[in-house]
Amino acid sequence: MANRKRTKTSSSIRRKDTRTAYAFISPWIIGFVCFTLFPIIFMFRVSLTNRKLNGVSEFSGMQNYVNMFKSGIFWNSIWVTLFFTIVMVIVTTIWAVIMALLLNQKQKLNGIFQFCYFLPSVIPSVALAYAFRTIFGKEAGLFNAFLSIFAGKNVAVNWLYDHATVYMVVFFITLFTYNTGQMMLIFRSGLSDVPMELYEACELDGAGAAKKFFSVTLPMISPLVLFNAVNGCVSALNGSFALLYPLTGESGNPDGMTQVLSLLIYKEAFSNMKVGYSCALSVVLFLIAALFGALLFGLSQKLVYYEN
Amino acid sequence: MKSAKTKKRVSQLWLYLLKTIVAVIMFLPIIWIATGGFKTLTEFTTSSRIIPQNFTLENFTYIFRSSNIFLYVRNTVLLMLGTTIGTLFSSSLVAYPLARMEFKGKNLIFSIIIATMMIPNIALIIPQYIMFGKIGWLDSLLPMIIPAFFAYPYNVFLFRQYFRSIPKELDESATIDGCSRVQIFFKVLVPLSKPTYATIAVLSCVFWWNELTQPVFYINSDEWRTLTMALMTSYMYTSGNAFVINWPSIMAAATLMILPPMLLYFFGNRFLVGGIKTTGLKG
Amino acid sequence: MKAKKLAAMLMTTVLACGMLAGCGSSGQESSEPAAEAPAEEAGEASAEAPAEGGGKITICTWNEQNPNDDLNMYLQCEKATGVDLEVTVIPESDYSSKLNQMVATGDDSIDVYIIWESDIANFAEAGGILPLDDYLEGSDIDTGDFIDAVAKLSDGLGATYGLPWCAATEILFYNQDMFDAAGLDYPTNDWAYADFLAAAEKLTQKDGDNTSVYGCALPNVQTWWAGIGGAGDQIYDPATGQLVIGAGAEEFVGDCADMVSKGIMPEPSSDTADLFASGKAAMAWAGSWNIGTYGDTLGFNWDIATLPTNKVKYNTLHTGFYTINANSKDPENAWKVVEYLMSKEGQTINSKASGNMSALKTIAEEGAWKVESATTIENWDAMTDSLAAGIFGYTCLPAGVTGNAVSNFNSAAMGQSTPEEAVKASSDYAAETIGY
Repeated sequence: MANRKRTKTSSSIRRKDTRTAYAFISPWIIGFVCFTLFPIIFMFRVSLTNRKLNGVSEFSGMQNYVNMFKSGIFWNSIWVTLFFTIVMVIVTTIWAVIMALLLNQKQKLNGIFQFCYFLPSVIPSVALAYAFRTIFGKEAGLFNAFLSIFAGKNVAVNWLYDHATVYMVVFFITLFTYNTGQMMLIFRSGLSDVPMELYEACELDGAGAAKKFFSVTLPMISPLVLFNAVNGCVSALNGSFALLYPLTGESGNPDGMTQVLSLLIYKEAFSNMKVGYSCALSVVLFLIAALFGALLFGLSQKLVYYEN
Repeated sequence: MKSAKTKKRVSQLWLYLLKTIVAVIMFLPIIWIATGGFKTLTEFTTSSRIIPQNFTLENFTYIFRSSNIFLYVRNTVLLMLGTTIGTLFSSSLVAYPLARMEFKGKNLIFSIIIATMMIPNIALIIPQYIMFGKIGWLDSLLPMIIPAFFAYPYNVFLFRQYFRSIPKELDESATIDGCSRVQIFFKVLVPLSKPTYATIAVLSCVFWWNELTQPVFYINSDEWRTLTMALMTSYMYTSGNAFVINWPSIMAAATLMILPPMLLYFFGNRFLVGGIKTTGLKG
Repeated sequence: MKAKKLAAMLMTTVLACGMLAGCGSSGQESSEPAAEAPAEEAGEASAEAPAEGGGKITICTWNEQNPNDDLNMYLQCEKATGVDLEVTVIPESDYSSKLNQMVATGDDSIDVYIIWESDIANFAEAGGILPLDDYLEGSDIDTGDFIDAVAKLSDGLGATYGLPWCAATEILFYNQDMFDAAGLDYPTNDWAYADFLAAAEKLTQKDGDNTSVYGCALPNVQTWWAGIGGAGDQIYDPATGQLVIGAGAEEFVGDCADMVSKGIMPEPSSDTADLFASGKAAMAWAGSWNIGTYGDTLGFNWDIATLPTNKVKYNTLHTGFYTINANSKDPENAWKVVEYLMSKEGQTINSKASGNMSALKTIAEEGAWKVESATTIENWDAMTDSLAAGIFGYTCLPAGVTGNAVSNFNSAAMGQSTPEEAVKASSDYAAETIGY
């Protein structure tokens, strides 16, 4: 490119290129302005009004933000959002690495195993949520019945309503989401790129499986782990609604323990019809996302640098 | 020598066992869904057996006879095709200059595209909802299909990565042959990138087949309900009573919904699996 | 040259837009026959030519249509009026919210809304629904015949905007076989709350530590409020529009928590099931429309009674109003549909199918609501008694507020918080939300 530029030395070609390029890019520019930039500005504006679902609205200044910061439900939701996002990323990343490690051991029937490991991630999250609501049900749940066999007596844990168990179950369910399956595949291809010589050298030193994992595998796939982890944060923010809305409802049962910000946004806008307030909540979610986004951006810059 | 061999065999067996346990855990919900569709409501809510005791087809007959299943399938397919065609066309157009041309503001535009990738859709959905309401697009598929024709940043990014891997000499020789940029794009790049198009098409189809959030916000009436929504609405309650959840009916409908992605895995495995790997790796 | 390329690119963009438009509109066209199919099929099955031709009208409701053609009032309406009637079902959980969205955006895809108590005033104010007075003048519907509570709710709107589709109440369902087995007398309409508590305890069957049959099912999102109202709380204050709960709610929630801890009542669970219908609960507080749903499908003898009387006799009255969308393209035919559904024939079919009474006193007196298939019911007086005690209560509050409160009650019932905390949290949230 640089070569051609210098030989032809014509700025007219470049100008022409620029025009053509912008013509090519124009769909994105229109889309960006209409569907991203405008909504962002609009969101800030509406957050300063008491707009209702039926469209009636009046300027109310910072009132929504004042109310929001006074609301216990809001702070609970912020905490739940951060907790859910970060823990989900950690749990799913570890699980994805485990599955990838297992599949990486070349054996017969690996195709079937990969099918079983990956399929749950391409089925709709609504279907998953309903399946798990009944699997973890109290009266006729599959999991309680399974535990009863081992305990030798009737086990009746109310998994999704009990404060002590709800997070355990919810994070277990995140193992079945699209994000986990995606990470597993990425790790798989990352693992197959690790040179065999490194393992062999390690074996000669008499290292066990655990040592091999921590001294060879993990360092080799660490950039992937980092990338997946931060990427997972953004998809956790986005995907939590589709999983939790059918699973624990808009109030985030029990006691708002699973009420992430996106559920609260939906509830305030559509059950309570407080669209202005809902926009103020959206602004906060937007800022949280921006925070995670900046983190990912910084990291990916660094990673690209690594590759070069 | 012998002990080493048996040792290896034993560890192989352990590995199989471990893999099987994980496979059972991962596949269990699918089995639970698939068998649940053949149970009666009473059995589903009182017994935790996996195999149906009173095998019944009533849930499936209900779905095919009394519900608008074909309407929901049509809506879902329309949504899937509309968004996929839109994004393939627009995203690849936008990606082309970003990958293969030099122009003023390229870096700025690319940075903005990367930045918008990080904004979760849910953060902007309320203002978008108001906006689409004003244009009169609510209760249709338009709020989801139209934006697809204006390039999704994520897909732009993917196309750019692929386009960059194609040798630039091809462009140059085509230019010498008198091709314009538009011709180069359609005659050189598009044919070369067919697998990329297929991959992104498959990923997009899977996404929209499973998408719940946007339809929940934008669609009100039965006429435009997608399958995911129907699962939460049409198939959820027993008739005449909105407080008794009809679990077997949900499971039966969910079973039908799982089939297409499953078939896709069998036949389009290459694109699905390969696609996800590359999309992540090139980050 | 440059200009040409630019033009080409512009063309592409325009083309893309064109494709979109084409896509959208063709979708709309092709949808119509598909959406109609089930209704049409059913119409053909009954093989009776409709009366003189009419347009197409869409009505929305939250209940699935009755599978029995004779009891499907919409199908019968089609036959009688000749208007092609299409039913859109929106589940109860987002019914109010979806309707609010449609009215806000001036949606015209629905002609006849059945609107809830909490929404009718807002919709009338926003001009989303038509005043029906002109139509009523030339019709047989006697608005003076409505039960008092309904008449009162319509007052103050300045005009008649909606006609009540039914008057439903909340009652006690009980399993006679289990009462017999426990040697208990059947509940009566003047049962006291203490009688209920005592019976619930005796009816509970234990299997080790676990309950195999519960004395009473957990109150559902509706009957929580009946219990709280019965314990003396006002619940809804029409003057301020606020949620008013206090000592009564604390008492009732406390009682439920107590019963849950003793295994007399089940905990709320993610795999929500109708424990009464599946024979795992001896009693249940639920809506009268369950009579129509249960019919003769339960494998045991059962009957009904009014909800037990605590400090006051209380149950929430449920209705909905037939209204016509102000944006309807065909209000004339929409009115035809409403007129039929409010007529004696329409109201009778509705009562027979659902077990809900008509809000028109003279029609209700004829007793079509005594569901024929529910052969084990003898105490039909429970219905009239409940109706007399029925009050419009929690249904006038925003769904988010009541939903949040029920979440709080549920966690108090499980002992995760105290009843006092639950009531305070609910009131605080209501105050934060209402009057926004």
